[in-house]
Amino acid sequence: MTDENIIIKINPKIYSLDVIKAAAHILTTEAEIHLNGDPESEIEVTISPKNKEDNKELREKFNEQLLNYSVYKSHSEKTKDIRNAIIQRVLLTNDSEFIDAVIEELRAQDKK
Amino acid sequence: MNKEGQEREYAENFYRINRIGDKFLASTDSGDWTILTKTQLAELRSGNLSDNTYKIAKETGLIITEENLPNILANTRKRLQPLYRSTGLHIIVTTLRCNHKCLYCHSHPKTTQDEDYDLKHETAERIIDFIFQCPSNNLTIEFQGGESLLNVASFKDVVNMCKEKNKEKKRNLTFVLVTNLSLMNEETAQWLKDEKIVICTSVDGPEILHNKNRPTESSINSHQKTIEWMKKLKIDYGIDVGALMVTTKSSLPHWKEIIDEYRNIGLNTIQLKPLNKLGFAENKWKEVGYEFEEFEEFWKKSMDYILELNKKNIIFKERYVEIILKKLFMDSDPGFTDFASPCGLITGQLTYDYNGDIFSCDEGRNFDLFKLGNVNNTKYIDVIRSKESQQLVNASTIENYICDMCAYKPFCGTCVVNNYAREGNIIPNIPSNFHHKLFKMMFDWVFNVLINRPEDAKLLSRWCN
Repeated sequence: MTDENIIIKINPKIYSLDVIKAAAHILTTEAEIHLNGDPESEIEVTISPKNKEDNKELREKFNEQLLNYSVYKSHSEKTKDIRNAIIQRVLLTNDSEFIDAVIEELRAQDKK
Repeated sequence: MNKEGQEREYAENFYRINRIGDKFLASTDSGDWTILTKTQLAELRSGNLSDNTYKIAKETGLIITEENLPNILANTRKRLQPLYRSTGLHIIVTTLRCNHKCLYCHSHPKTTQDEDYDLKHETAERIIDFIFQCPSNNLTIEFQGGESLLNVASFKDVVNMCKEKNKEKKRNLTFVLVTNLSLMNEETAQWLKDEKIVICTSVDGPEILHNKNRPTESSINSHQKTIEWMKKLKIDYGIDVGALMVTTKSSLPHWKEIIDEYRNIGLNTIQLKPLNKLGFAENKWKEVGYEFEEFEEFWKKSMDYILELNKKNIIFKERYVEIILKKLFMDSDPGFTDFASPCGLITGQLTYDYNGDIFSCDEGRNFDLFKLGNVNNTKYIDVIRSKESQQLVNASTIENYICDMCAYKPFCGTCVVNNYAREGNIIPNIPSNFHHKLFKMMFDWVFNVLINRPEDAKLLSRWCN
């Protein structure tokens, strides 16, 4: 670690640890990332750029990814049930011949 | 609430957002997509929709209403249709012998004298039995090598046995021969025509480049032979031969000459394929390989040149882009396994080596990890149900990765064999993954043209016809 490292302190009540990890993961090709601190009070992210000229750009990119992943996560959680409902409905009714055969079989059983 | 103050009834759908310049691409699981302005995205996020944003969001399924739900379900169903397929493409290696020693070959070829590596009749019978256990109505049987024309008897034998078996099974059969054409003769050409066999070959570019990439065992001029037979098959037999190219380090400065070569031999599509780090290419990576950024420059220069040709009313397309456009604008999926999640391994294609070993796909032949059994003691159902198959298919499902937050996800995919070859792991490390960078670069390019270059976008719109 050198003076050229970027240190960002994050309140985990605003960005959760998994959001911070996801943002860090996306930057792993451009920097070494070290996470430290207390998940209850403050997370310290140290970003050591592989190319020292990229400092400003990396800071901006990390902050953008924090926001992106945070929005994705909250949006995924909010729409989880509807996403599952659509997929379930699609998978249960995808093979119309199979569904027709099942209905036919159920009807035949009813008649018995 | 709309302009008249009436309450709108809708639910927010799951969607992904990518920023492209000052615009935002939004896509959903159903593969519907739209480009939003910053204001429209803010409206969508806040739920305070103007009439126009409401209309766009409803039309593209970003929100779900009673009216658009059937459409969302139908489009999602179309996208997931491949999950219900059984294997349609079956690649048979009729011999590992080859008269070429291509610098990037991943087939581990043997010399032309090594007949121990030919497919035997009994093994071919077992392979065909295995293939017909697959319930797919459409079966494509592709012959690969080595060089298939070194063992013509074997692939004729397979075709004849398949046709005999199909009298009872009644499937739609297609046969494809992948060959370097250097050993073609009039008798084989006539037989291929009579049997309606599709032919595909390799053309890496102009003569010097092609022959450098594809040296031969007996110093025959590979390029001359290939082009000569492509022309002859077209003129004398009415057979259009398709061609594929591979980009090596030597190809990088010759993007224009490669495209011109394709035009000169009468082809109007090229797939600018990067080199896989497999087989000979892995051993000679310093000689033939390159960094992603070098390929990016090659690909973008090629695309600019193709669009220049299009501006002069010359029809010419790049296949990756053509497939992306079809995925974006057409109702039916072009079925390209690289841009699919899960990818096409096992459920879309299987490969049978000369000795009956079953592999997940053509490239999978390089590693035992992708071997799923042998036709002498394995049934199709065993392969499909095996834990190994399920793990490989799972690893190629990009919903499992950080890709799930990317708006390109409904149109994209990953290649587990290439991930394993480059990273030593079938689970990709997405930020540094070669295929991730490659596909992202292509999607970025397409959307940048569609959004910011209206004249070029008009040219691309003709590619879907």
